[in-house]
Amino acid sequence: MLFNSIEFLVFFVVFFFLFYFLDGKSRKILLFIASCIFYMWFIPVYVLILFLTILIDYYAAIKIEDDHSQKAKKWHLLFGVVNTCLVLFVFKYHNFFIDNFNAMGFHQLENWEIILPIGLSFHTFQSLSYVIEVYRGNIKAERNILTYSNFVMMFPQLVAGPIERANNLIPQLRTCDHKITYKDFSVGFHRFIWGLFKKVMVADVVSTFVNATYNNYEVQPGSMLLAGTALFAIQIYCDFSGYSDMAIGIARMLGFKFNENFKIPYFSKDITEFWRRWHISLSSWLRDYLYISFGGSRFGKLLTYRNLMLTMLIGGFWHGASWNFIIWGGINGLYLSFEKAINLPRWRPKYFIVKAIRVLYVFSLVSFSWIFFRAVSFHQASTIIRKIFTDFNASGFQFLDINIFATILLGTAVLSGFEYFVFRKYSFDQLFEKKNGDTWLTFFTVLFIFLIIFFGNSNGSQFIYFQF
Amino acid sequence: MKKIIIKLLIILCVTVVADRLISWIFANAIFSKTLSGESGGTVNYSLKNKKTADFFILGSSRAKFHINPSLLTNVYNANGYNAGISGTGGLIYNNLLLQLLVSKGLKPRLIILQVDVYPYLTIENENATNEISPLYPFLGENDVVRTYISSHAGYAEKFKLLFHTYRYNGKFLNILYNYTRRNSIADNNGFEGLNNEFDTSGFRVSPDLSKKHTYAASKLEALTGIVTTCKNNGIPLQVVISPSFKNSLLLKEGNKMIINLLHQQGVEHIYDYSNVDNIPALQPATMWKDAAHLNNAGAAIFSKILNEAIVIP
Repeated sequence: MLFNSIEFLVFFVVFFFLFYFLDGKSRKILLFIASCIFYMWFIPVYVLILFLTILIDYYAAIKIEDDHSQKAKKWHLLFGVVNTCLVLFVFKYHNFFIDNFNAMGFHQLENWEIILPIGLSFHTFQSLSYVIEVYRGNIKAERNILTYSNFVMMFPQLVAGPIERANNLIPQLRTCDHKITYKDFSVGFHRFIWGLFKKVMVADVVSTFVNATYNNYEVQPGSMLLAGTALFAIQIYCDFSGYSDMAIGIARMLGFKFNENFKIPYFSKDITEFWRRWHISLSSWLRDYLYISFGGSRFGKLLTYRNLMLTMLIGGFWHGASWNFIIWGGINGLYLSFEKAINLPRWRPKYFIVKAIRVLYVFSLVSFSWIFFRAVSFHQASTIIRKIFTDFNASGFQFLDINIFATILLGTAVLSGFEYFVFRKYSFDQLFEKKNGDTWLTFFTVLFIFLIIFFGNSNGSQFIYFQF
Repeated sequence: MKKIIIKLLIILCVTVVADRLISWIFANAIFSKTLSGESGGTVNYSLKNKKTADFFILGSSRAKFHINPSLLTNVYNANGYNAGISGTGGLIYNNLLLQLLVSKGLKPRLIILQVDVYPYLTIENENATNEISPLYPFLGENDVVRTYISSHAGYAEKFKLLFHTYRYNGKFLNILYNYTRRNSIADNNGFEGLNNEFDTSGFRVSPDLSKKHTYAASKLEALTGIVTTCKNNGIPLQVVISPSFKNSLLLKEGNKMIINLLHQQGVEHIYDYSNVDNIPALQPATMWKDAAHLNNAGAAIFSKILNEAIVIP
């Protein structure tokens, strides 16, 4: 079920009123059933995979907590981590390894005809963080399986995050008898519409240009491919952060507070800052459980660079079972190592023009790496890069469809304007608290609704990150 | 809860009132005065200025860019209008457009319908309403489109159409732009020539057209609808099948099927130019803008060929 669909609207309206009037355990049961329905809307049988990972980590965490010997704790941690990763490997990476073994001339093994369960990478990472945190003693193991299931399955964050941490979400889910305030609902509702605007009016409209260029990359000049690449940077941001806004908004309407997942990343002034603002729930996961575990920056420069590279390579591989994602991660690892080497994040620009140049620097580098993310093969990515640098042909640039291009410009202008002048300074909560804040939020919500109706791509396309 | 419901009701009321107000103002002050563009403007133009046209050409971009009514001098002294449309101008669109034009009092003496089998007839659109969305602005004033929506659109599309402003979804800027140039429209009888020549360096006939194809039921139904509308209104219908560069769109089996179907339904005159091997003048790449579309030079030749062939009813 997509957030940007009529089915979800009906589902959520019914769910909201039931959830509002119930409390305690009934709420938890309702949330569990609703999450199952939400997940089973895609491929029903895959809910069993979800149950399997829930049972593995639920059991592992309790055993970790109950065992007194450090060795036994470690074994149970290993049990949880290995089995959860095994599920991920079987469904996501098996075919990738088979393809590579075959390419290296080993036995010709057959691929599995298997569809990746939606959101698998997200909920497995969420489960892993829970088990690790229990092992580290930072949180208590959850003994109520319904609460733990809701932590993994809660439908607003189930298929594409944010990857919530147990210490934030489990306490909210444990009693589930919180009061849903007017502020919760209002802030959540406005945030949902803002996310919908990003997805339907910006990402989905931009995607028509991006698809037209990337799908015909062999005949497009470099100028078109450059425009397609820059627009993909906008598309993926609006698609994913739009989804996160909707997820956070939905949770908030139900009285739950999720962590932020994006903080206007394209206004970052270096790549290091970018990764603190982009997909925060994943980058902080990678930092806490990989980078720091590898040693972080504690053992000298060279090992720091190695740790950064390793973390980003694994981060890339998390996104998808393809060399392109690994390369994408590697490029970002190089950026981060380079910035660390020259200590760029310490140079805070004072003047607007320098800040603008730094923002452009980040956007250019990030967009370059997106080429590998968007391209379906290494050949496609390398051809696009070659054409951008050697066959630019500015006169070959076309708007394709001037109506769509004008809509892209309008959508991007509205988005940038709001992000720069409003969301850079205030959160939705802060806006609500301002004098007449709720009225202004309502006004802009109605405005966004009309922008969506007039300009949105109404085909109800999937979110990019659903594939991960 | 009371406060939440009040808030939702306020947003709903404001949205509905604004929706009705904006769409009414936009429809009357802007859209109705727009006479060009493929968001309903050309339909407005034909309803306003082409009521006395003797023939209408219907079809896709391969009608719009291929057939110049001014060159069909043997056909009612070239007093015709090309209502072809790029992008979505398939049979479903043309079926509704014809019904709309007829219901608004247009009764030409001949309809020339351009039909393509591949790929238009071989693909069943999951969302057929995409094809007719250029006619959404006419939802408020005519039953033709509304009837189609109620019987063919999914519930999601019907829900969206509860908002009257949704009729202008994806067309708003286009309509606004065409509104600004409403006083400077050249009367080219709907024909738009393409200027550039085809750069064949990246050309290849990719799809295997020899394999068995299935045909979209909804589009065959629309084709029958066009034939029926013409019959019911006493308008003769003739059909043209356009060529493509190096026969990249030629599907022989499909052509046979469509020609048989049309003959069975009483359409006598079908001009099958789908095989470009039979038209040497249109074989050079200099006659084409791309593999599917003739350029100005090619269109002039094709229109002249058609001019000689068309049998006046």
